[in-house]
Amino acid sequence: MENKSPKLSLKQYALLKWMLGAGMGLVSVSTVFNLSGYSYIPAIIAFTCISVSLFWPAGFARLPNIVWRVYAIGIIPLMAMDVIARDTVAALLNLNTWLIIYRALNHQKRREELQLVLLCLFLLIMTGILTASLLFGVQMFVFFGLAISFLVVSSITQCSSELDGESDKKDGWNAALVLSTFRILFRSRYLFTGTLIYCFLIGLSSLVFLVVPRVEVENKVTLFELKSNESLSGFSDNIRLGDVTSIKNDASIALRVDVNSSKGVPVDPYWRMLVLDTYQNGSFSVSNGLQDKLRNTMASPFNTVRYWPDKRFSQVPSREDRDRWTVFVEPGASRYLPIVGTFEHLTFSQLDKLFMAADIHSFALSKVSSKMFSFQLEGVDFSGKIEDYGLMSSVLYNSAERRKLLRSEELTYPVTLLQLPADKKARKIFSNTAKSIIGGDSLNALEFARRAVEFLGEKHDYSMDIELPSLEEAGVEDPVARWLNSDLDGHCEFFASSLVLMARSAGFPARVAVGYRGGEWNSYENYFMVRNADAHAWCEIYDGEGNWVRVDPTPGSSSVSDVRSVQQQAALGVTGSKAYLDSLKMLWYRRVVNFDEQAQREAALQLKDFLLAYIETAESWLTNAVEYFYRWIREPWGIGRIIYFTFLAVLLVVAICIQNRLTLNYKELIFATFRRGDPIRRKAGRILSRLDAVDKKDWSDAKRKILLDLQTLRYGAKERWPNARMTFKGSKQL
Amino acid sequence: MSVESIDSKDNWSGISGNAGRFRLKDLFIPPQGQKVVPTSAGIILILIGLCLGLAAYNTENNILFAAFSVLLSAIIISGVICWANFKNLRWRIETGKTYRVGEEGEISLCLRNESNKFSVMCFRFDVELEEQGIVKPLYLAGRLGNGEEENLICRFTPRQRSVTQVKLDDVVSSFPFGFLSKHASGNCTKEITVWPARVDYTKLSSEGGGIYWQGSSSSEKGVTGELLNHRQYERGDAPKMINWKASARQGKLIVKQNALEKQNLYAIHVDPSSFLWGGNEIFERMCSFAASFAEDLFRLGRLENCSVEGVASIKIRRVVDLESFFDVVSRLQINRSINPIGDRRIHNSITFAPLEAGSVGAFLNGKQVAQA
Repeated sequence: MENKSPKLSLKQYALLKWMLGAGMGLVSVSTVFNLSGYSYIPAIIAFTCISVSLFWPAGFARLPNIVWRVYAIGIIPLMAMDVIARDTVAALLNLNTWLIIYRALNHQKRREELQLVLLCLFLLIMTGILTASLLFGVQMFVFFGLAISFLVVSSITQCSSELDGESDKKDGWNAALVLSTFRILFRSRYLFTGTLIYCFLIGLSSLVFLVVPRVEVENKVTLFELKSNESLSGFSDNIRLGDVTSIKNDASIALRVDVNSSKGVPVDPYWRMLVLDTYQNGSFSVSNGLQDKLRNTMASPFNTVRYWPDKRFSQVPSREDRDRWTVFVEPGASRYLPIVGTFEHLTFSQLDKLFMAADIHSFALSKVSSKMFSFQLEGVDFSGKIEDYGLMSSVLYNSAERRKLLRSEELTYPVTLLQLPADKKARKIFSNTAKSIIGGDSLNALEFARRAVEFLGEKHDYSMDIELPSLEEAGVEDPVARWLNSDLDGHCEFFASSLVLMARSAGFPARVAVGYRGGEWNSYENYFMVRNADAHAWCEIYDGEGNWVRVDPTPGSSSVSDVRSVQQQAALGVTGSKAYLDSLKMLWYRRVVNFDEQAQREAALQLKDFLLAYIETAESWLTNAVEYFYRWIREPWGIGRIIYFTFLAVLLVVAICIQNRLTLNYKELIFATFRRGDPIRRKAGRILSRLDAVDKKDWSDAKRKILLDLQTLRYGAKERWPNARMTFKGSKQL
Repeated sequence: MSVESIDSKDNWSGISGNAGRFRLKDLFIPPQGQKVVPTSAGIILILIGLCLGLAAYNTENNILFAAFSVLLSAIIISGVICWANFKNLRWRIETGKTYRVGEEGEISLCLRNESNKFSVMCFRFDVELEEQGIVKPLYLAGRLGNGEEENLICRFTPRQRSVTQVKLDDVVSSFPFGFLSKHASGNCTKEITVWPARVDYTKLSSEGGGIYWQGSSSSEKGVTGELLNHRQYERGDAPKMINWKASARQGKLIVKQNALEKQNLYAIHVDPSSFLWGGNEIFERMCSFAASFAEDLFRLGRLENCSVEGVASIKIRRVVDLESFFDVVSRLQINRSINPIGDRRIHNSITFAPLEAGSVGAFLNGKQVAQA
């Protein structure tokens, strides 16, 4: 009466192996689609071929060997062309993809199967390094599930094929075979065991990942990167009117900011990326002088001490106990770092790729990053003031020299900070408006800015949809002047540009700053989610005392830098499925991509705290329980109470008696529905395996009889079964 | 399904022994007789893991750390699963009763999965027949479910008569990923006796020799001879000689009496003395010849006794007696300690002596009756 569970045949194993191999290939190739700025043609070809092979393996198996040889040789010129025409990294990715096609469609021997696994692994790791996205994390988990299944099936087929010979794919696999294979997989314990192994692998890998000691390396090796195209967000050196507003139409996340601050977080943070000084016909841009500053050798953070002796730039975080803002910038967002305020310490893993312009307190990478990058700020001051280090007073406050410079053909920085439109009519409009705001008073820059903001707020409302009056109607070419002269609503760029140009007309150096404003607080993981829709422009005005002060003339902006605690922010943050999904991304960045020595230390401390808290809770629970029991026993025992508890005790005894009369105990009865096979056979089997280790030589006949009864219950036909309850009861004597 | 006998468990071997206790130490330090060797795939994986680890530390890239962690975990899990796979498997060797040189024999390797929960998978067993110089791999392909048993059959053709140790030399498994190969000694040995080969020989008609045959011997079963009468069954009579109809009528066992019964009975005497048998080859031929000759005489019902000089004398009444003689011949070696003691003729005794050109002759009362 053997009840063997179904087993897969060699052909079914071969089918399963083929499908797993193809699945592995598909997953690894699909990671290529995560990359931006990369030609997807090889990946699309690979995806198509492997998908076809998944459903029609016989087609590729019938190809003569010569085809594969030609293909293998053909990869060499393809690779050569790639290296010459493209980036080396892209060429390497392509080579890997071509090889995966070759191996995924043509693997028979154990060696070839391992080659397939390794090729897929290499492609996966390469794309992972290039993207570091959460999607890659998901793909990695799926890939490792498929890879271990593939290796297990490969081990089994290797053993089977030595016995029975190779299964031939040329026969093809029909739907019935596929169905029967999956039926066996689901009916037997293959799936359960496989899932168990997979979960064990993932658990152990996570543990190893957490405990592998991290060391901070100062001169770490830089990994390869794909050359990327333009910034996706649109923040560049030259921003025309409407550019920022067009960015606002994109609701995708641009950056996530992890805040670890006891000082609290600003209610309305400004993520300042770039400052634009020169103006021409509705377009603000970074002047050539400033761009040179961003590019020359002195722009390296290693020279920062010349400008900011109190600021530190490092590849490792400081040991100081202060607030930390970790910013994760999405791939392709911008090459400029969003800075929430002045800071004391900036940590960036690749300092050699960072450029800074001290004059404008702006930081940039040499190119737009194709993968997520992060940096950390410590000791952030989000008051909105940025210290200038001394250029302004010498040049711009000497009126004679200023006039002379402003008359020159091409303005250079810092004179560009006073630049007005070339059009005289436009200049007149700004100057008249500024005069009307000043009203003959003697105002400092900040007072002027306050009045100008009030003036703009009274005259214009906020609107994303603007139609400027025509040139003939307005009589002036400059779009900002046209808007200022009208009572039309406008968006942030109009407000900021108008204020800057009015301030300059009034003699106050001013500049436009662009970046993001605000962001949503994700309450699941406690961080800021800043979207492209939060793109914003505002202005900075020089206060004449060595500081650039942020002034945001757009209606609805707060001039006061309100601060909330992280707890308050968490209570007001967003929740919901989208926020939850995004929090997973943050978790990935925080716990995986950005997991460093400090995070490891923090994790260890958290674990310690958790254990201590757990012990403390358990201890207090135990103390309470003992105290409760003590109080309960000390309470006066009235007749009612005695009868009540006697009744409970009788109930308990009756329940135990009933239980003893049953063949199976309550646990076995409950679990019987979830377990396979007859519960009585299972119980007999369990008792028999317990008895295996017992020496039976001196057993009496009665004991041998019980043993035989147990064996009958375990293996015998049901018609011959003895009384199961009595047998189990008797087995307690054995 | 028959109920398993109580003490059948005692014959099983496995890496955990009969107690089957879990010892944590065994996970890290393989006990004696066991070893874990990385396969070529495992070596490559370890090298890749090292490279990844090195790259991860030099770049501080957590993607590389993650890949490194998974590879490291895969190796660890591979070891743990391999150990668990081994732990639950029990094996024992079952052999047949008779093996003869040149005839295919079978050995069964019985496997049992002791686990109540998990299957065991993919094993290779190297079965060695020591004296025969034969090593045969047996494979447990696929899965052996929890509590299930399976027999693997090893077919082989013995090469020389001997008492051979059948040994489970090595139990190997590369399950689950093929990175590590765990080896364990089988700890399981069984002895089999390989009888001499059946040889063809030429029977010579001998004047007054009394042996009735002519021509070559035959390995076909059955006896010849004219039916003379029926008689009452005697202990040692072959069951096939029983006349069941007559027995039923008379209420007692009646056997057929052939003409052969009335004929003379013979004794076979084998002398392994070194002065007779100079080389191994001719000695082997003699052993095979003696065994074949004895078998044929037994089939004819004309064998009374078999003896080996200085070893044994066996009265032949039943098949088991003949098999005992075969067992003795299987162990027989050229005896250098026996000195020639002259002609020691026994009546109707068949002896063996070397002839020219490497052949062996059978002599009845000093006259040659057969040659091999």
